[in-house]
Amino acid sequence: MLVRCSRQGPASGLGPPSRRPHPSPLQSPAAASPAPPSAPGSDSIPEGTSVSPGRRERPPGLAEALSALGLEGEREYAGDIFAEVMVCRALPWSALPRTVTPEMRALVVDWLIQVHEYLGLAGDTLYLAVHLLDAYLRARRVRLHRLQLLGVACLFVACKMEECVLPESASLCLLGAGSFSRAELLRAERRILSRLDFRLHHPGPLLCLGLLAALAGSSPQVMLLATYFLELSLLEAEAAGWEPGRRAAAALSLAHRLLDGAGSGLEPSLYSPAELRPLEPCMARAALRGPAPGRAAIFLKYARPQRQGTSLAAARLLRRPQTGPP
Amino acid sequence: MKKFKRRLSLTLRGSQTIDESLSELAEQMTIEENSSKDNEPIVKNGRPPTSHSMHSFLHQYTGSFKKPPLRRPHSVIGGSLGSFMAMPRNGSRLDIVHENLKMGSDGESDQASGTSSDEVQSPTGVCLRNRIHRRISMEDLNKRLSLPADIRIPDGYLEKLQINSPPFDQPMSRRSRRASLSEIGFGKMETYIKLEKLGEGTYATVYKGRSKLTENLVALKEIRLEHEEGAPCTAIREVSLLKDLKHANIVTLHDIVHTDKSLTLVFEYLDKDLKQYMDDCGNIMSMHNVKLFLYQILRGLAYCHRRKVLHRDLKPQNLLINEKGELKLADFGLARAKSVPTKTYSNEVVTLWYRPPDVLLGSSEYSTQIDMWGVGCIFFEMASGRPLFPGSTVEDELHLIFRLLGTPSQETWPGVSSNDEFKNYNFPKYKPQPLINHAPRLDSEGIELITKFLQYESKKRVSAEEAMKHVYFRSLGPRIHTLPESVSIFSLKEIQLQKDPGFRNSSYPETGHGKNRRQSMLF
Repeated sequence: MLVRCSRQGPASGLGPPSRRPHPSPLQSPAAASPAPPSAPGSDSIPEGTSVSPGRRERPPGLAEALSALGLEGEREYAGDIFAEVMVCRALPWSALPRTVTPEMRALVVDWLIQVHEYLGLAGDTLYLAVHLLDAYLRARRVRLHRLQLLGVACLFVACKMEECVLPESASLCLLGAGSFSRAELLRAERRILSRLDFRLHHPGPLLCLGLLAALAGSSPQVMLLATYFLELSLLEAEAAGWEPGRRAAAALSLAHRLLDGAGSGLEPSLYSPAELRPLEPCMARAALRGPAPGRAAIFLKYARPQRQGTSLAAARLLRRPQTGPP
Repeated sequence: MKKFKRRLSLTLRGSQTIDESLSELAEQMTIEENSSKDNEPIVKNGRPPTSHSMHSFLHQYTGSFKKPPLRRPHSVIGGSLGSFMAMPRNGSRLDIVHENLKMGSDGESDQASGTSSDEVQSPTGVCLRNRIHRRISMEDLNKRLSLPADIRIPDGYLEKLQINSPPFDQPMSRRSRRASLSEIGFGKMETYIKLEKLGEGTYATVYKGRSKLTENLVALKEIRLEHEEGAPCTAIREVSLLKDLKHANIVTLHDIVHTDKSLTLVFEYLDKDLKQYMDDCGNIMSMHNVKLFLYQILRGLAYCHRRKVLHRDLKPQNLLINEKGELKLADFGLARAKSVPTKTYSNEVVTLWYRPPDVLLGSSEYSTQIDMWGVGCIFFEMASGRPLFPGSTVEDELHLIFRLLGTPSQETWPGVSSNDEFKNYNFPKYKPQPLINHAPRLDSEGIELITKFLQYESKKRVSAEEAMKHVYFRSLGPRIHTLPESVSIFSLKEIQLQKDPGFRNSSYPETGHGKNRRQSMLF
C-alpha cells in the first residue's frame, strides 16, 4: 500500500490516568455514555452484521483528516480513498482448518510479531502478513509442522508488497532457527502466490486507524493505546473476519474511553456502538492477559520505553474499575 | 499438549495473576533495557527473541498428531549461515498442503499440481453422481469459468468434463475452478507460442506470442527469478495491482505462468507504444488524436488514482496503443511502491524526462500529483513532436525545466528556497517563457490545460479527474464522461481517430524501429 500511518508522536508518556472514577470500560459504550449522537443511517444497522460497501457516507472533515496524515494531495479523491480503505471487505467467515487451532495460529502470529519487530519492518507489513496467513488458511489445509514456514513466507511476501528495503531470505531462515531452508521458503512463497492468485493487496486497519484518529482529533497517547489494542487483535483468529475499518474503530473507541473516561468515546458517526461492541472485549481481554506464554510478544513490545510502557498502562487502566469503587 | 492447554486456560481465566506477571515483567524490562535490545542494529547471527520456544511449541503440537516431527538441529543458533544451509533436509519438498501429494507430470510446477486437485482426478464417488447430467455446452463452460467468449477449449476437454466434473449446476469452489482453468491450459507455458522477441531488459524479456486457446496475439513478459530471493517485488506488486485494476484504458493481464525458473505475465497484445506511434507519423500527430490520447491517459489515471494507485513511471513507452486508437497504461512495476530507491533500477532504464521537479529535488511525497507532471510532458510531446525536457542528468533536467518555466523563487514555489539541493545547484535566474512559442499547434485551451499540469508545487497541479472536465475536451461531446469504466471511448459514434498528417503508409517496413520496440514492458 502506498500510504503509511504517521509514526507515533514524540515521547509524551501515557501518564497517570485522570482521577475521575471510570465506569468499566468493558461496559458497552451505549450504556456508559449519556446519549451518543448517532449519525443518520447508522441506527438502522442491525447488531453484529457488517455493512455492505458503499453504505458508509463520507464523514465531514475527511479532507482535513487526510491532510493531517500528509495526504493533502489526495483531496480530490478523498471520498474514493475513504471508501476503499474503510469499506474494504473482511475475509469471509470460516473456521480455521481442522489441523490448526486458534492457539497454534496465535503462536505463529506471536512469533511473526517478534520477527517483524526484530527486523524493524513497517506496521502495515505485519497486518498484511497476518492477512495473507489467514487467507491461505482459509483456502488450504496446512501441515502443522509447516505452519511456521507458511507464516514466515507470508511475511516475506508482505515485505515485497510494503517495504522499500527487503529482508533477505537467508536472514528469515536464520530467524527460523533452521526449521526450514531457503529453497523451502521460496517454494512456499510460490505456493502462496499461486493459491491466493496474486491477490495480495489489502488496505490494512492501520491506515483506517490513522484516518479515524485524525477525524476524531485523537491525542498521540490515545493513538498509541489504540495501536496497541489493534495489534492485539492480530492474535485472535476471529479478527480476520472483521472489516479493517470496524476493527480500527473498536480499538480507537476503547482507547478513548480508557484515557478520556466514558462518554468521551469515539463519535459513533461511522460505526454504531452495536457494531463495535462485539470487538472490544476481545481486545481488552488480550490486554488483561498480559505476557502469557506464547502470546507475550505484543505485550513486551509495547512495554518498552520507546512505546511508553503502553501495555503496562493499559493493563492498569483496564483493571482499575474492576477492583471495586475507589 | 495438555500442559500447554492448561496453561492457556489458566492465563485466559486469571486476571488476578496479572499483577505478578506485571511486576515480573517490569523487572525483565529493566534488564532488557540495560542491554538496549530494541535499538540495536540487526545482527545477522544474533539470536532472535524466542524463535525457539515457538519452534518447540509447534513440535509439541506436531508430536501429538500422527506424524512425529522430524528432528531438526536445534543448537546451532549463532552458528554461521553456511552450517544451516548445509544441513541435510528430510523433507525438502514443500508440504504445506495435504492434498497434492502426487506431483504433476511436469515436475514441481504449481500449476501442474493444481491440476491434480481431488475434484478432477479423484476416481471415487464422482462418476456415479454425474451420470444423469445434461450435456455441457461451450457456453455453459465459458460462463462458469468466466472465460473470454472467443476462447477455444482444447478438443476432448468437454468430453472429459462430462465424465469427471461435479454437478454442473452447483456453484464451483475456487479450487475446482482453478483446476478446470488449468486443465484448459491457463497457467501453463505450453498454452503460449513465443513468436518474436520484442525487447529485453535487466529483469525481463518481452516476447510477442500467440495463445493456443484464443489464437489471439499476446505479449509475454518473462521475468527471470532470482535464485536467492524468489519473485521480484516489482513483479509481485505489478501483478497484484493489475488484478485489481480493470479498465478500458489499462492493459489487461490475461494469465500468469509461475515456475521455479521464471514468472511469465501474459498481457493483451497492443501493436505499438506511443513513442513508436509518434515515430510512425513523423512526429506530426493530428491534434484531434492528441486530444483523444490525452483524454484516455487521464481516464486511466483517474481510475488508478481513485484507488490510491500511482503509476509513477509514465512515459510514452508505457502507453500502449492498438490500431483502433485505444490507449492503455502499462508497466505498473513501480506503481504503489513506497519509494524509488534509484539504485534498484539501473539508470539507463529510468528516464528523467517525465519526472516532476519536486521529485528531482529529492521529495519523497507520494501523492497522485506526481503523475500529473508527466502527463503535461507527454501532452506537449504529442502536440509538438519532441520531448519537452530531454535532460540527461538530474541537474540537466532541472536546468531545462527552469529555462522554460522560469527558475522558481520563494513566491512561485513556497519552500523551494530552503531546499538544500536547489540551493546547491545555484541555477541562473531564468524568466518563464510563453509555452505557445514551443507548441504553436496547441490552441489556447490546450495551453491553459498544459500549464495546469506543469505546476512546480505538486498540490497546485490539476488532478486527472478535474482535467477530464477541462474545456479543452468539450469538443468530444458530453457522452464521453458517462461511459462505464470497462467501455472504450471508441464505442461512441462521435469519437473517431483521424488520419495523422505525418503518417507513413504501412508499406514502409517497421524494421527501422525494431531494436527499441516495446521498452515499455521492461523493468
